[in-house]
Order: sequence, then structure tokens, then C-alpha cells
Amino acid sequence: MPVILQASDGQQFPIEKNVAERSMLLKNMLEDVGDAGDPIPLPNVSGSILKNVIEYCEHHKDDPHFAAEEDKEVFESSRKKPDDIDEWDANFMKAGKGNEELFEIILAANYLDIKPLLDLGCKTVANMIKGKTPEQIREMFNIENDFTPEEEDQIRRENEWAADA
Amino acid sequence: MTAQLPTPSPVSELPPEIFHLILSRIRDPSSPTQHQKTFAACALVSRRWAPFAQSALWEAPILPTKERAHAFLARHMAEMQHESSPHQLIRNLDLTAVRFAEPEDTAYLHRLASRGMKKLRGLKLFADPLDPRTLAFILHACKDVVDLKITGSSGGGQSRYFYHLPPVRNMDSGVLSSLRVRLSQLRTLDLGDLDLSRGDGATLAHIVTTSLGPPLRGFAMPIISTSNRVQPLRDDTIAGQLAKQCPNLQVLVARGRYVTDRSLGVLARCCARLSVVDLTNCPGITAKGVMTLLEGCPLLSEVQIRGTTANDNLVKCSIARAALVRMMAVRRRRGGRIFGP
Repeated sequence: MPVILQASDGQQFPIEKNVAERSMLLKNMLEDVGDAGDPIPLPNVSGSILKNVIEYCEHHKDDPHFAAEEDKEVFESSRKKPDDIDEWDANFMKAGKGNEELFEIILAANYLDIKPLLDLGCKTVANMIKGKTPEQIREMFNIENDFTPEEEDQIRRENEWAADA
Repeated sequence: MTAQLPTPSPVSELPPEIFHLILSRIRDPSSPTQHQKTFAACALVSRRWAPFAQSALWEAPILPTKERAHAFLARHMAEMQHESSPHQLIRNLDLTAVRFAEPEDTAYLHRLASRGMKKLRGLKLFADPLDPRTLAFILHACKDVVDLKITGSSGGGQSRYFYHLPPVRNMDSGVLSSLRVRLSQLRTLDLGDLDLSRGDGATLAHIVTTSLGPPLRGFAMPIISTSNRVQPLRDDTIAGQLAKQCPNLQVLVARGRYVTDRSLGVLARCCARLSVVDLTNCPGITAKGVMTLLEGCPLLSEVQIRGTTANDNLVKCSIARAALVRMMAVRRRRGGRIFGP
């Protein structure tokens, strides 16, 4: 019996139960409420983003689930390998996705509690930032420089020891 | 909201925990200092980015070269008194690249320690020699330091190497008790590269080992190779004391020719949580001692026996088997090293 997800714009997506269960939020919800067959409203996720998230979950539906505790460890550890992105995942993140979409997927993964997707999104962003100058980062993400020259100078001096690698 | 307004960059809407997650992914084990450059760049992007990047950068500064460490310290000394200084963010500080020597650097070390690194929990220092009074001062000033590594040498007294440091046994009783209290609070103490064989270093070793307490999880023994004089302290005494005072010990690095099977017997009786024991170059250790240890400590997953006399096949098989059993039982705990990277 399929689970029906309803995006913020009213679009409905019928998906298999084991696909929906990649999301801890939905998994817990389905366990608590049981399967009533009603559409589950997701007011924080738009239809186009939800489509992407479902695509990811479809591909990974047979992956083993992590134990909750282990998940937490991986989540909090800063010493994990940051670069090892699976080829399908890398293409999934690249395929025609702008930064805006990328961040919305991260937010959706966070909201739906899909740790591997959240992780993938964060790795992707981290790899984009790596080795860039502040100007390049601002340009990439369309960020305005709101520092006063004094503030900027202060931070630059504080971090001098780290900047000249 | 109308379409004419400039849309805020979606990156500024990310919640803080996701920001932290992204920054934590920037660390790259294959080039240990590259991420610092990226963090420094992120700190200059915008006001919203700055605090996240600053805390990521300053939490554990990596200072692999002398030049870099000196540049860092110069800035540190000039800026730290400011309340808003990022030095407040430091949790782990490795200054091993800077070679301190007392008494020339005593005043400097005092100033360094007394300038508000409020969050400091882990400290690594090189000093050759180090006056235990300075150590007492540093530990007193940095109240939350629980992980300590000292490299170099320490001691005092009339030895020709230490004529300029006062004898350890003349230490003021107030200083001594403050040192003892702080040592008893430590979680890890790595003295594996600290030479206490000169001067009256053995007295200091005695003070250290009799002060350690229940919080201790990891310990690496100092180097004490006193062959000629009658010393109150033998390596076996260290292990014996340690076992009695530190029931929660998980990692032990033992060094020295006086560590014998007797030590291992006491450890096997008292320290049931031991998981890693390094006995490299302890010629006094035999197969019997290692087997006793393996029987007494069910969590043991790693035992190094190179350079001991315990080099027989039965011991090697038992060690391998213990490692395998442990690995299967708690696979995901692996990699949780007790001494910092």
C-alpha cells in the first residue's frame, strides 16, 4: 500500500512504504499513526524539492539502516572522511541543481530526518567551499559582504596564522 | 514579499546546526592544515558566517611548524585580554612545535597560561626542562584542562643539567597540593616523551603517580632510567600505584626495563576496563604476564609486545583472538582514540 506525500504546493506523491521509511520522521509517523491512507502533508517542502528527495530515497531504498546510536556518532564526528561521495550521489547532486535547490534539499533532508542525504548535501557544500577565497564564496552563494572595513581587518589579523598555509 | 526585493541568499537561512555540519565536513585528514585556510576564508565572508567559522577554526588550532606556532603566540599575547578575542574559543592547544626551556621561558609560560583561555581542555607542551612549579601554575590557571601531554624533561636539584632549577623536593607545600589536586582531575596524561631520569625527576614522577585519580582514562609513563642511584620509584611501583588509584584506566603506555609481570598482575586485578596496553620495549615482560593481563581484562583489544620477552606464539594468538572478539563485539567503538590526534 503506497504512502501519499503532499508537498507545500498541494502536489501529491504516492510512494512505496520502504521508500518513505528512509525518512526517520515519516518512519516514526507511520509507526505511531499506522497507515491511514490519507495524504501526509509536508508544509515545509515544495513539490520540486520533494521530487528530488524521493528520487534519492528510491535509489537508496535498499541500503541498510544505521543503528540510531551509530548514526549519531557519524553525525557528530568531525574526523570522518569528507570526500568519499558515491558516483550516483555525486551526479544526483550535480544534475541541474542550483545552489538554491541544493540548500533546499539540505533543509528538506534535515526536516524529514534523512541523515545520509543531509550528510551528502553538507559534503557537497563543503567541497564547494574548500580552498576558495572569501570573494569566491560570496559570489558562489550570492552573499553580501556586510562587514565594516575595520571588522574585516580585525578578523584578518586574528586569523593571520591560519591563512598563509 | 514582492519579487522586486533582492532575495536573501538561501545559505543565510540555514540553521546553525547545518552550518556546523557543513564546516565539519571541510576537514581533510590527508592535508591536516588545509582546512584552517578555508575556515579563515569563511570567517571573512559575512557577519553571519564569521562566528561559525571562527569557532571551527579556533577550537583546535593546528600549529605544525615553529614559525606558525610563534606567529600564533605573538598574536595570542597581544590580543587575548580582549573579551571578544577568539582565543576564548580554544579547546585544544598543541604547542609542541615551540621549544620552551626554563627558567628562561618561565615568565612567558606564566603569562601564556594566565590569559583567559576559558574553554581550554587539552594542552600539549614541549619544555626542556620544565619546572614542576610552572606546571602547577599552568594547571591552576587553566582550570578545565583534563587532557595533558608534556614532552621534554623535568626535574630539578643539584645535577649539572638542572643547577638552575630548584629541587623538586623544596617545592612549596601550597604549590605541591595544588599540583596534586589538578593531577587527580586529569582524564589523560601523556608523559611518554618526558624524561624524568635527570636531577631529582624521579621525585616528580613519584608525586605525579601518587596524585592521579579515578577520572584517568589514558596514561603514558614517563621515561625514568635510573640505573645507579637508589630511587624510591621503580616502574613497577608506577604501575602498582596507577592500578590502585585509577580503576577506569582504558589506555596504558608502559615503558622501561623495570616494568615486569608484577605490574601486569596488579593491572589485571584492578583495571578491568583496559582496552589498549602498549608494552613496547619492556624487556621485563614475559608471556605469563601478558596472559594474566588478557585473562583479567575482558575489554582488551590491542596489546603491543614488541621488544618484550613475551614473544611466543601462544601469546600472539591470544592477543589476536582478543582483538578479534572485541572488534566483533563493539565494532563501532573502534577509532575512538583516547589521546588526541
